[in-house]
Amino acid sequence: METAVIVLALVAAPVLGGLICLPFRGGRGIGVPVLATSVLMIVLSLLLLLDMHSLGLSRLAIDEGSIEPTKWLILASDFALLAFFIVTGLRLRNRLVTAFGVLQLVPLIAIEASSFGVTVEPALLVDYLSVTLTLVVSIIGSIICIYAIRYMQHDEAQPRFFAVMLIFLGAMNGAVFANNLLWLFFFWEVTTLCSYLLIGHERTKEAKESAVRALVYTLGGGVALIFGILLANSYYNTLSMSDLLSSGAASGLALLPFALMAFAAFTKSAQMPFQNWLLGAMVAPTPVSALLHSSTMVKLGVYLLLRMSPAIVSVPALAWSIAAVGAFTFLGTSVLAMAESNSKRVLAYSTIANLGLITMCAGIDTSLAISAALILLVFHAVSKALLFMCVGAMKGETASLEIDDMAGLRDRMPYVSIAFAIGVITIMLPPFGMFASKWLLSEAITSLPILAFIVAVGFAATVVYYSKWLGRVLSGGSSVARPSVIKDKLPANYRYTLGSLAVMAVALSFLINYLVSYLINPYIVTVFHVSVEGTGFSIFSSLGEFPIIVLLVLVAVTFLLIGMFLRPKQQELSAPYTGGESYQFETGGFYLLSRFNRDRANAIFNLTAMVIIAILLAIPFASEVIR
Amino acid sequence: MSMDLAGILVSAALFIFAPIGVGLIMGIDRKVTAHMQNRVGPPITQAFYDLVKLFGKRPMLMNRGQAVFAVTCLMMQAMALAVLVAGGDLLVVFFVSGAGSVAFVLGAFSARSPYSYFGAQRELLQILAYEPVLLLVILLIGYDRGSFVVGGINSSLLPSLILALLALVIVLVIKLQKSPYDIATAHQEIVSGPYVEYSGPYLAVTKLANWFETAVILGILTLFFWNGNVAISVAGKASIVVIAIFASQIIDNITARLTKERMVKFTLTAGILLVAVNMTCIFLVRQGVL
Repeated sequence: METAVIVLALVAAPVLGGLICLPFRGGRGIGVPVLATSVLMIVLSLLLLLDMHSLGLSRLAIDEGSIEPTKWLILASDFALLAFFIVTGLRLRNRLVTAFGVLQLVPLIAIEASSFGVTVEPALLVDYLSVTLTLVVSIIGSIICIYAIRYMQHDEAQPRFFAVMLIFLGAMNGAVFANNLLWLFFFWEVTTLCSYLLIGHERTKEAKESAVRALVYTLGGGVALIFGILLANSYYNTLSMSDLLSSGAASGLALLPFALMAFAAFTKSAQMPFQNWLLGAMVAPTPVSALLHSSTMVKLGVYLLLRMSPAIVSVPALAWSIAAVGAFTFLGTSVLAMAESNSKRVLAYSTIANLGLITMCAGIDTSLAISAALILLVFHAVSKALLFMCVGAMKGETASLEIDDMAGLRDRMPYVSIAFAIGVITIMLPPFGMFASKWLLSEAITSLPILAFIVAVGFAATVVYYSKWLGRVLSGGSSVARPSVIKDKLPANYRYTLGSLAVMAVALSFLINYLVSYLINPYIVTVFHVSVEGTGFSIFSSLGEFPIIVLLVLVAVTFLLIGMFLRPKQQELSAPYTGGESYQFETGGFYLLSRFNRDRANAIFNLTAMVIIAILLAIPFASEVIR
Repeated sequence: MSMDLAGILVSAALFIFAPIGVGLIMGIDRKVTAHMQNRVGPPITQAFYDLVKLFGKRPMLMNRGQAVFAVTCLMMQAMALAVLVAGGDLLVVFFVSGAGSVAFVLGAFSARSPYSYFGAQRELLQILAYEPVLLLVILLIGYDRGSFVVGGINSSLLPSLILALLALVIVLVIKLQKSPYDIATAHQEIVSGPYVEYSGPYLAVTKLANWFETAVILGILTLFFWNGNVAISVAGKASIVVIAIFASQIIDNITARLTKERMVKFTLTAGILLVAVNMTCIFLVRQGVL
């Protein structure tokens, strides 16, 4: 198959699959098209990777001429989309939504008026950064969609739900392939629309409010993006991402497009102080949270930052303020997560924190930092999707999202608990893949050491909030029983989806050298010198060596030996020590910060982030004055 | 980490003797403390007797989780020490040892017992207090040297990193479970906290893990001195360890246990401040200001 066809299919197939879902009233049999589309996307994305390698391509350009009608389709859809936002704003009597809709429409018309009919070549540009993102979107996103077939089986509006979910995936792929900035903007806003519809899916008052909040924040970011594109067109005279990046950021007001795009990325990736929309989004059904947090939506923001980071190397002030936003976001959300008792909110904070790290890496803007960011992006997607899906499955048992209600779940849901433990351990501890990026990041930070003070505290806070949650799930009374994953009465769907992600999280750690050589470095080599190499049993960076495979094998052997030889007998059981008292006891949660302190911390972090973003936006003007 | 046969032998010897050394240090520590308190104290090999006796006891457990995490903890700490003595990456040493601490906490959590639970929560707070400081010290070493590979350090860290060494002593006090920071294992309050539900061989495993963990910290301390002459090098390294241990002993004997909040605040403030000042000095020297 022609590689270009695969690329187009990765955008078109999920959209068509989504449309096919629509006639399945009541949801009977809807699993078939969802499953088929998901499997197709997984296959296509892997084929794309294979094709790129077998053809020896570092990038694949698709000209506008070869897909002529698409241009007009996108143009028409774009105006329809903005019209929808404006009408929604009017219907909800929400002035901000209306205003943001209009503020996107005006620059869009201005751009179209000035460069109508101008062809932007190439229209789509696929390099290994796009491939990395599309693998994450198509594989993790598809597994989440399959999981949703079971999770949503009693929902009444399934056709609409699955249609939006699948279109979401298509839009994500479109956004990471787009080289025409207006196409990027279009797909960007389609993801905004999809997240709005999905967050509001349950149609409760809270769901509607959260959906509108998400819409306001992300539409605001869209305004920044389209103005960024408008200014890019006027300062650099191009609507092509690759031309814009290869000309590099100039100085003075010509820096504004980059600052505005960074601003748009912050809103999309829910960086502080824009984190509220993602926290509110947890009212949505769990598959939606999983999708928003792991593979779509928020990853688009950091994708844009990573995409443009090589172009702003020459403007340290701009890069460093991006890094500062990321670092503060990481610290702030990690500290706030320690004080949180709701499982989905903890996961949401953790997502924002990890995106903060990626943002920070984009701002540190060295080969090492970008490599760390890409590894983090991939492993975070796998583990975070797994964690959300576990929380969804647990909710089926406990009917609660409170961490305290998950105590001792190990005995009731052994399969899910083990999957959850794998999720937490792979996201937090060495020697798993996510940790490799933490290690690289720690090394990268020596080129901007002031950030180390922020990040070091954030790392420790991460350990605290994940450990106490995992400890809660794994706590058990006196018993010799082994958690039996076979006897768990989990639906087959959950068994396979959770299992495949858990296996993927561990297997990818073992395969990390291949990941680095075949996915990360082929991108890095096009923009920086390669500084991370995976050979033999270790990952080597310019500053050190991480014998990851050796450690992984040792851990695996330890667990194998424990499983084979550790068989406590009934008479070897002891009762918990209670100081001689015999009463029953129940331990409550422990959340470090009082409500007052939490609110104060939140306010301080938000304020700090706002100041940094204000500085970021002021840099172009300052640069203009100095010049 | 390619090395010759002699190097491998030295690493293996260090790996075996470092925890034994820690056992002896614990014995000496108890002896000296006893003298400070006008007691005779146990023989300096007491820690080994205890360990052997514990291993010989009948295994008693609440559930499998405890044993799994105890063994994992020991494994992680041993791996951390192995990477350190093999001259590997300091960051890897730090993070792997940190994973061992987390495994220990999870072991304490897995027994549904009130004292064990409190102990685990307090242990986490200790991690929150010392981990950032320890990481910052290591990052500072990397910043100063341009590399995190232990094998590549061939001059004393002491001259440029003296404040970082002070910060490490604070970490050492917590890691050695000494007053004022013996918060997780506070005997009088929560009957040795995370250890309370362990007994017999599994208690021995957790104790041994703590020896390895201490060996890792002391190993990092030894990096602060280096000399081309092996004898001088060893003597210098030993004296840094002795001085640091002695300092932590004095602190142990003259202070009372602090509250957990004060521990977190003090350790983070003091530790971060020390590292920050030290980093500024290195930066200024590089810029030619100092």
